[in-house]
Amino acid sequence: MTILETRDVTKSYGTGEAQVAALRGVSTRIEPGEFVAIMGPSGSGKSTLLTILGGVEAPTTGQVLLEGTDLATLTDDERTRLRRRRLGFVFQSFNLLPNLTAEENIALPLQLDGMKNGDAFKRAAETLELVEMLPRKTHLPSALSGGEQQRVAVARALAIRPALLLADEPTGSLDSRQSKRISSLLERLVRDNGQTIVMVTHDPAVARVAQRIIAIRDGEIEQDGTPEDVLLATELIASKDA
Amino acid sequence: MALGTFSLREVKSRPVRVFFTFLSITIGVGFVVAVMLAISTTRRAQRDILKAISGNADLEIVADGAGFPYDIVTQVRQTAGVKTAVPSLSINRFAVIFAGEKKAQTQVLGIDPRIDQQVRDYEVVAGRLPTKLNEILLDSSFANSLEVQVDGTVKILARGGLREYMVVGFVRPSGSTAIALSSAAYLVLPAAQAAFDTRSNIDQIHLIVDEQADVQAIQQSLRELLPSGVTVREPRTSIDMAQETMYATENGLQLAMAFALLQAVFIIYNTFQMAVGERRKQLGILRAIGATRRQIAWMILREALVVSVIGAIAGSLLGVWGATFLNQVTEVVLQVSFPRIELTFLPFVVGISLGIGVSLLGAVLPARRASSVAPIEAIRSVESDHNSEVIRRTLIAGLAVFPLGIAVFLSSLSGRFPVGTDAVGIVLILLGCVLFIPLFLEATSSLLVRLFSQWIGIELKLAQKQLMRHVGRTTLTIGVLFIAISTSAGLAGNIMDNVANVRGWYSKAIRGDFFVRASMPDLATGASTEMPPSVGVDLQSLEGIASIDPMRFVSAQSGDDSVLLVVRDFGGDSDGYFDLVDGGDERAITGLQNGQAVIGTVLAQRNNLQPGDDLPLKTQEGTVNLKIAATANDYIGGGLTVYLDRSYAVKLLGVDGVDAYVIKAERAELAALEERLQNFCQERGLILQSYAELVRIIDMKINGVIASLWVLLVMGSIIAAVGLFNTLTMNILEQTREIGMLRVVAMTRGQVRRMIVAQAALLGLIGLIPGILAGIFVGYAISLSSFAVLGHEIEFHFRPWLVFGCLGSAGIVVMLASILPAERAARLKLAAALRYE
Repeated sequence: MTILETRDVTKSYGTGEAQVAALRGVSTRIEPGEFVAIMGPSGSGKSTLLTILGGVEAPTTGQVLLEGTDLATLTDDERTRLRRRRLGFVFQSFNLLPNLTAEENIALPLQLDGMKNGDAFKRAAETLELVEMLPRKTHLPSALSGGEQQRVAVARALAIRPALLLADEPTGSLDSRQSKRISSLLERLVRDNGQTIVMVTHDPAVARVAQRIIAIRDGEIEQDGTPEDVLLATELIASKDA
Repeated sequence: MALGTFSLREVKSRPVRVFFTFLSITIGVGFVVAVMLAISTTRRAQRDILKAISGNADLEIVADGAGFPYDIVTQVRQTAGVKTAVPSLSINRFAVIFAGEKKAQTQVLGIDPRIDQQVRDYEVVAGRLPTKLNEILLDSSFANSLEVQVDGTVKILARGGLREYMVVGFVRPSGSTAIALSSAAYLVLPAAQAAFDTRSNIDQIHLIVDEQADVQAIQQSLRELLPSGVTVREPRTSIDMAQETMYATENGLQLAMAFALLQAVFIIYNTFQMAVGERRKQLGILRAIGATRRQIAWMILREALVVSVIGAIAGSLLGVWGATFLNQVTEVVLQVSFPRIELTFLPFVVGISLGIGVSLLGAVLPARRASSVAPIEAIRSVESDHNSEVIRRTLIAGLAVFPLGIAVFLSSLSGRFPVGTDAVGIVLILLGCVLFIPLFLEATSSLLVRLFSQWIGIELKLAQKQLMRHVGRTTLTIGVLFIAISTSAGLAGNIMDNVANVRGWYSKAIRGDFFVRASMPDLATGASTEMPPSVGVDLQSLEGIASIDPMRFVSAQSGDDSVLLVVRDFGGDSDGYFDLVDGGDERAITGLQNGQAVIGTVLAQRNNLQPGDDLPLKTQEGTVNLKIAATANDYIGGGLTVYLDRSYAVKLLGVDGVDAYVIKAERAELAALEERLQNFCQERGLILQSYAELVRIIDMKINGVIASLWVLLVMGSIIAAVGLFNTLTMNILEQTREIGMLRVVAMTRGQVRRMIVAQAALLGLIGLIPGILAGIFVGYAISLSSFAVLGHEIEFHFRPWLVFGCLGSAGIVVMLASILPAERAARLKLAAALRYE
């Protein structure tokens, strides 16, 4: 069953002459176990697409179906519950709660969903183990490096066992060494755990670990294919532009 | 310039934050201005009580015997601080008045009709004031009893001989004038001087001093001016019952003022801490791109100055409106009459200075902290642990302030510090308590989380984490609640204790149903008209009288205190004379029957006297040492009273005669007796007064003062609620990004609402429960401090309903204050929240 499908999604901001079209009729499907990277230059609409895929924002027109459910038909609370049970989010700026420890940050969404404290912390520990951060579980975010914070953020997203992991520039704030480590982690999750991931990135090196790349320009899908095909085409376009 | 533009853009891009900062200053300044204006109004209401009882004069100059030359009036008027000097010939000027076949004793007053009404409350109800030597003005009821009409004639027989006067008008006295001058006749001053043959002498000058003048200093200047035998003093009646009850009120007002200032400081400082603290990252960026610490400090100061000046102006207007509105509401709800709000400079100076000063302080400190860290550290979204520093500093401050408060309070209690410093001590103790909050915050909040986790687990835990993130700010918010409830509950309890004390005194010491007098005694001088002995005999013949108690009031001196000697027949019935504090009924009555005295507690306290001690008493007839049988709570004569049995007063002091009869009626005959007494008094030109009526009038006046205190308490609660609302809203602004993230990853709107309400609940529980306990302490402390002035404690009562009522209503206020911020948080736009910096 297709995990995520968008049908002719558009998104506009502002009104009248000041109206800006961020997305112009985006249609695509994400299948289980896929690792999809969304690439594009700044302002191309890739982050907007990700927030719409996650039900954080509603499209202006078109449909977003998560496991067959049209997000537009859900109430705000139903969308929230769907997000916390089926979607995991990883942000560029980590967005960890500064006053919670690593394991508390991870356990929180589970607790909010009604899981017992003991179970939530057990799951948090398992997930921290998965991202190799278990020894740092009692540390506050302020005591962790950027890469470590991002690994905790990934663990928090994974802890709910999401059907789909949405990552917005997960390596955007990291140095190349940490960036590579996060990329490898995501690749391993797909390979070993069958995790479906949609990741927004502008970094070709990071995108290369994905199985499929959707290239967006001016709110429209420009390329959709394997990393080799898309990156090659992108390079050709870039060299032609130059 | 560049930073100026930056500041302007900042204001434009954060309108909500700027608005709430502005609102805090407006509220804080408005509260202070409103409270100070309300206090000024309350004081005027108190002055009205004094006017009602003692006339309007602030000081009086009096002389015995032949009086003093009129020329002194001119010198007195030139004394700095004296607004008006009203001369009269009025002390012990008794004469016989003839009207046709009728004849009566009257008290004659020689007045200056142009200015006399500035110091005496009477209304001309017919005709006009006298202006010529042969004109006279009479009390209307007195004239009625004499069956005299305006334009009729009467004759006055006094030392200057028998003279005829034309009646030009009638007056109806009010306040003390009603008591003192109910059978009075008014002549122009030269006419009275001729009638009593005093040449150009006068015997009294009533003074009104300037509003802000130092009465003590004026007294001192006048003392140097006046010849021997002429004294200046506060009118005796100014220290009678009204002032006695005013002690607690004044103390309450001082406390309310101090607490208002404290709350305003907390609210404004807290807001600026948040508003500037939230920009820590931004300030770090400015530092990183080359702004110096000084530049940043100036930028923040400029911003704070602009916002605080505008806020202070708006707050001043709000304060005027608030005081006026609450005044009107109080008048309508409690059916009392308040003077109009008087706009003086002081409230605005204090309010505006406080608003601007605290804003600058609240802005500069976090700005300094932000600019003192390395730019790269400040840019990090997460501030490194500052809480331990806050805990350490507040603990040190608390360890200094709390014992200091206790020391000041105890010193005030023991008399080492002046009366009134108890309020300072209490404020310092409360402030010390607030400063200890950070030390217990984590443990207390964790305990509450554990206690309530069964019902609202994770949201409560998140709320606690958020509160613990900024210990300083959380402490300030809790401090607002703590101060609000402790002062409200303490003052409310004390108000009730005072009222209970006055009512207790009524019920024990005033048992008569009616007073019959020839003229009411002037409590300032003791002068009165004695009644003929036949009155007592005639009264005995009336049906329906259970008992008759003859009384005499005489002015006397004990040490430096002018006292009121009250002479009565203390028979076998020990009930109904005193509200005894030290001694006991039997000892008091037995002592009185054996020539001892019962004295008021104020007199006892001032002279450190107790039962068994001797009281030196100087009277016009000589000095005697009276053994004290007991001390009593007394609201007559300001507690500076000496009670003596008639037989010993005659023997020891030569005091005889009757000024008044206190009559107790047989219950079944009460109404009928009142009618009989009315006829009896009308026939003889006597005055009939119902004590119930007197008590009702005084109650009404006291209610006016109490009402204004309640208004202050309500205002305090409103301010605390608004302060909490503001703090929560600012908190949410700061949490915008986190709330957005939580909403994205897991939280429903309901959970967000619960988390914000849980924050308020935690703040409420941590602030209100210790606050109410502190409130009980405040009430008790005020009752203890009453000893220094009254000579007895205003008995402290623990009122569970008040405690739970305050706690419940404050809890509701806290929850209500959290609704809008919670709703705002729940309705955050997720994508925008995630981008929020």
